[in-house]
Amino acid sequence: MDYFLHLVVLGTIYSILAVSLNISVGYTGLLTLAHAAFYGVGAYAVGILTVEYNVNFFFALLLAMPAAGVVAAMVSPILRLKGHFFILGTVAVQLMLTQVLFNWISLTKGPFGIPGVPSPVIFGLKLNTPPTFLLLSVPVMIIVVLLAARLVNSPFGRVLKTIRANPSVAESIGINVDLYRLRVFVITAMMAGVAGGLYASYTRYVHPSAFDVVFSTFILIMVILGGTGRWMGSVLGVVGLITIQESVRFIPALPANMVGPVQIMAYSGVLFAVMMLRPQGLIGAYKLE
Amino acid sequence: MPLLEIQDLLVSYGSKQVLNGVTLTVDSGEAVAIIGHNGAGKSTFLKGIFGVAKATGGKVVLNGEDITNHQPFENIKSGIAYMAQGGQVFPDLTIDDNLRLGGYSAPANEIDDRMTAIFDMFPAISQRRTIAADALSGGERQMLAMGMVLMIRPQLLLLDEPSGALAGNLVQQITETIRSLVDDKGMGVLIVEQNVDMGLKVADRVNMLEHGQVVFSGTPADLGGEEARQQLLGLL
Repeated sequence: MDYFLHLVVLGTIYSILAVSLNISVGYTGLLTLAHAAFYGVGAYAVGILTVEYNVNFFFALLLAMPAAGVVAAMVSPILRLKGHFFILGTVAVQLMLTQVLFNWISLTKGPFGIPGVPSPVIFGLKLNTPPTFLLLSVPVMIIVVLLAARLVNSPFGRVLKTIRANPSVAESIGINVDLYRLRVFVITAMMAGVAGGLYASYTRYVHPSAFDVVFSTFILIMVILGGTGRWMGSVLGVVGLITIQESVRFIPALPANMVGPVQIMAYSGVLFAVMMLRPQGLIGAYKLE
Repeated sequence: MPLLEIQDLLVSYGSKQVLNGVTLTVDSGEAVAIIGHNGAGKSTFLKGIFGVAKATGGKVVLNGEDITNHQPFENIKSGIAYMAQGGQVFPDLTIDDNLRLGGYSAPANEIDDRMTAIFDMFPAISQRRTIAADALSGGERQMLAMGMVLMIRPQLLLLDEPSGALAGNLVQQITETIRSLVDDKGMGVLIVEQNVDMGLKVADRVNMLEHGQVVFSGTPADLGGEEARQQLLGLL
């Protein structure tokens, strides 16, 4: 039962990631493979602030948002790239930030990671088990998902959809496309920062390898599987991918050391199958192009 | 003072120079046509004015103010509207929603009045307000695209091939609409046309572009009689 609840905790954290990435990919047409990097910035912000500076977890979680947002703003010149070049630019950002996490040893402890991130405490209750951590991760996920739903249904969200539908026409009717793209890039990075902060306090350990390009791809697959342009699709994508991930463990006679590689092959297979058979995902609003 | 003054405009895509110093003016209440072969730089010229393509030299001056390389959203605030080639609209949205979006920069309390004016101008699309733009014919789509940019109520309208692939009666309707914008509303119109016949009918002045340079500038009458005109049509 605890293992199932552990998956539910991860599901709540991944849902925040997938819903935020969907705002970027699905609603604005910014297909990015750097989301794990901003997730990592949030995780490290909470790890460093709580372990090195004894900052209260909740205050550190609040600071994780602007930390990820500032890093996103710093790399935002990649938004000048269009189409495939933008995607490649986000891969470059992801690789670069992973290297920063590995090599800025005085700040991040490099390959040793940061152990001992304290568990959050609410009214004297230490949230250090899956069932107790759900008391935090579920409300945070609900808040983020509701904010995302509100955002995409607001006039701001309608502008994003026009940018995705046709950036040239959006520009010709007076929309400052570059400014909106920047806002979305920063806002979604901040959301990923929140997810990262939760992850750090849940696993109590942050390490650069948890925030690499493979994980960025994993988040993107969740969005594509669930369907782009619908926030509910992202949550479905998370459930679907975790189910597939865990099903691999039940393959008879699969050696334990092969579970990880087979899981990655399963994700890749899912991505391939969705692109071929149902490009709009399970409940997507449109086909990803 | 002309409404729009272009001085030696240069635009290049990478190492390829597309515009080699184009100079022309457009006054309020005047339609100026740009004609020329495919690849002569006609569309790039409009993009360079509107800020979609970066000018590498020269000046774009609107009402005496230098607006060279201003962003499109800034140019719309200054009173320029641009309709791209091919009747570009938001295909998933209804006619109503497309027009409302066209009024993105307009004051909210004027949107309904402006939409009514557009529907008066294009009765064909007023009958189908709740239809998705995807379901429209080529001509209706072109009318919608023009309606969207007219929601801005610009001083200067940049039109890239408004007659593109339309049947003769629709070309005539678009021509009349443009003339009414010029004559009745006092709008300045700069129109790029592959359909030379339409360009000559709608324009007060014509510029012919070759290899990114103006090789002829004058009134349609300056092109001489029907023989010279047919020769020009044959050239293009």
